[in-house]
Amino acid sequence: MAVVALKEVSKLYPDGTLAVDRVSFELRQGEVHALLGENGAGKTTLMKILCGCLKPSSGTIYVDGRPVRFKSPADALKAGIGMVHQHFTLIPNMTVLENLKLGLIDLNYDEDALIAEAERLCQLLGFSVNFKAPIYTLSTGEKQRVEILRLLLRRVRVLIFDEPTSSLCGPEVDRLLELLKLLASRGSSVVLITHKVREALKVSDRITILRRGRVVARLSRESVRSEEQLIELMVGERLVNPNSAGQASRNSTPLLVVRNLTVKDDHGFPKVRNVSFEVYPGEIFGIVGIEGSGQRELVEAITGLRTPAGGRVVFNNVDGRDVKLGYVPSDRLELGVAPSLDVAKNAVLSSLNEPWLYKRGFLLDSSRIRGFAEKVVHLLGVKTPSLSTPVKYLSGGNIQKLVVGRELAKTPSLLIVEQPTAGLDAKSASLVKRLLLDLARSGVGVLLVSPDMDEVLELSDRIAAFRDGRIVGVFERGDVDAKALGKYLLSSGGA
Amino acid sequence: MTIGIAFLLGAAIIVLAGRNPATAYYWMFRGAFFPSALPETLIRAAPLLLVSLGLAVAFTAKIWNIGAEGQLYIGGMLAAITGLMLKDLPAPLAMPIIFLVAGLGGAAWAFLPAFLRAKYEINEIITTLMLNYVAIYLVSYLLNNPFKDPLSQFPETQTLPEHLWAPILVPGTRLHLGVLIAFLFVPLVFLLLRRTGFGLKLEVLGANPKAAKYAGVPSALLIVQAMLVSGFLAGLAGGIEVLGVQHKMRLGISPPMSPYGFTGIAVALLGFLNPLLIALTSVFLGGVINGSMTMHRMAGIPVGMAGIIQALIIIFILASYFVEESLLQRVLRGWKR
Repeated sequence: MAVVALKEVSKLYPDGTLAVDRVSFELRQGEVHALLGENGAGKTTLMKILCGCLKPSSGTIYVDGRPVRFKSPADALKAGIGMVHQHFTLIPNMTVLENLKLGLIDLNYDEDALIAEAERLCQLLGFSVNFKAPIYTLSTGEKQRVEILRLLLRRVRVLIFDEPTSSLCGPEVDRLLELLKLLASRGSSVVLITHKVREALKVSDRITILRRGRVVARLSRESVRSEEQLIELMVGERLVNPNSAGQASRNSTPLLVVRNLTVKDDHGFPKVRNVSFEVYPGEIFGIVGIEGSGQRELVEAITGLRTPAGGRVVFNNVDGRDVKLGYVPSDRLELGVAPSLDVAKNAVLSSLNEPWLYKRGFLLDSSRIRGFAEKVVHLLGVKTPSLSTPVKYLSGGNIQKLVVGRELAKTPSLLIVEQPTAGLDAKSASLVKRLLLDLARSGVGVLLVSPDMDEVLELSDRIAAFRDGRIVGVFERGDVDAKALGKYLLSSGGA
Repeated sequence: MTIGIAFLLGAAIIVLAGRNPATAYYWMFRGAFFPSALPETLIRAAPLLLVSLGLAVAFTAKIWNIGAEGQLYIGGMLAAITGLMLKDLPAPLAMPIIFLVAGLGGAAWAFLPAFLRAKYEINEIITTLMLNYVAIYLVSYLLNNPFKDPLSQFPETQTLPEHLWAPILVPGTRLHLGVLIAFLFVPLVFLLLRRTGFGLKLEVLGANPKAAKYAGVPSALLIVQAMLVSGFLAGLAGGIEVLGVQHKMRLGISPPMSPYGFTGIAVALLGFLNPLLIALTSVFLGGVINGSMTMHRMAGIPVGMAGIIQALIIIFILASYFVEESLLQRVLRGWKR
């Protein structure tokens, strides 16, 4: 008997992305159910619908066989459904107890009763928490347990975990997985959202695999033959398109040389370890890896936004011209635009230090600026009322187009592009891909960094598999398919 | 409309003070914008204009210089000292030097908070605000001790020789060269902010510091430059006030009810950091300041009441902008979908 069920649920985002496409999903009492898929497969979206964070575009949610409609996460909590998000929802400078009380604020708990109940649950689940400790002093694993405790205190029966092991290290991962099994054996139903095959196999009773917003398989653990089978299902049978840009002459001087680069993140942990590669004129060099493996830090170190802890980044002149760098950051909305400034100014945002922008060295050449902005807007069809509209009034998809178009239009000699088609509709996405290939054909070196295997396989001349801050393999186009690449990226199972 | 509400509330206060609001407002308007009062209004507007133009430069980059008052005092003090030292020099030679020193003094006073912000990310609001008091008390010390006019019973310098007074532009008024200089900075600052790479980079830095970093904009340098320009104009405001109006440095060169350095913040914001609107706003507020003084003198409204009415007008204009902006946004949103 299903505790909760989703029937034919779809989610269409306002920018036109169909994140979840007619998915049905059933969760039984007392099971751990893994929701397995690559980045962007729609796992989180689907579960956010179940926990009331998102409204489905169509389809129905059933709780105990009755259709329900959640207006907010609070409604879902009342129905006994709660989610432990990837980013915790605790208030760092308040204590554990205060955070627990905050989660129960509408229930009029007596403080002593609450502590007694929380202690009982801790004992049951075999961990202990210092209720007086401020949240910021806790480790990630401890914070996660506080989140779980908060849900259990609300008598939540369905616990959804969104990539719960991604921020945990070694022993804490196993501890959490044990905890999930224990929760299920005590009668709760658990959903584990993950892209790690090994994890799913280790704890779950049943596995649902999503790919591109659709269910591709429902399996019980006994019926799984191998890890490879699951990876195949996740990444699908994909043909590698043999026509590449193919103009790369690797005999020439590389535009970009990266040697033994080591980069630390904001907390001082090494996220990029001893990475070396080069990008030649006329080729697309693709780096593919699960999000959060250190690609962001790698690119930041190359573009100068982050100081590397070791190694070298060298840009070489080709034909005596300085390297002109184009850069599409993955965080386009945060990094790529100044929202209160207009479209024209944002179109030249990354060219502010270039002489063509100025007359007599310091006066802005407004006709050239508008001319360039026109070009950018036309290139990808940015929908804007005018060039003097502040960018903040544009939709997210159009801002994406503006940033991507801007970097393509400024004819760089080296283009670094992260997730070029993320957030774009299908038509613009294919246009961007064509433009990238054209650029490479005209002799530009392109460094493509993306978690999207399809994209990287489709576009790149050479493909580097990136895992845990290292390049674990470099392949020529055609020498590798999604299946093999998937194994490189996914089979390691842990961080 | 909101100005109407401000005046209505003001009227209520005047009634509370036992006076007739109609006569009070008549005198206020007469003291502000009647042809006879206009020169005085412009004189009042000039330092306000310079201060707020400078602030607009810093505010564009979201660098919050709250220290214009102190910068203005330092500028004024240095103007008087330089003037007394150069009293034997002919005016065409001495005057540019005096203005320059006043401006540089203001800029120097702004440098420390700018450096601390650029290098160590120390909040410039606090440092600039606190340095106001340091500046004013420093000037107070100088005026009471080394630079005190021995013949005066007030803390003030000797009066500058007459040939160093800023020349009167329109005979029969007090309209002086400094006012013209102040208004000349309107197109200059407009060009700086709207037509140069410097201005665009300031805008980017203000709109999104992360994007500025991404775009290769040297934020630290820009912060210091913006603060220096800002301090320079505030110092210059002090300089023209000394050469044009006071002809000496004394405490309280800034009207106590609405000090230029602080009122300038409101002017810069009311003018949307746009130099042209700032010019209009400073003339308007210069008028309100003068008018409320006339109102006090002629209609017997207590000084405090006049100050309250001034403040009400500023608050209500500010409020009206926010109301309008949110209306504008609603309309635009409606247009989008």
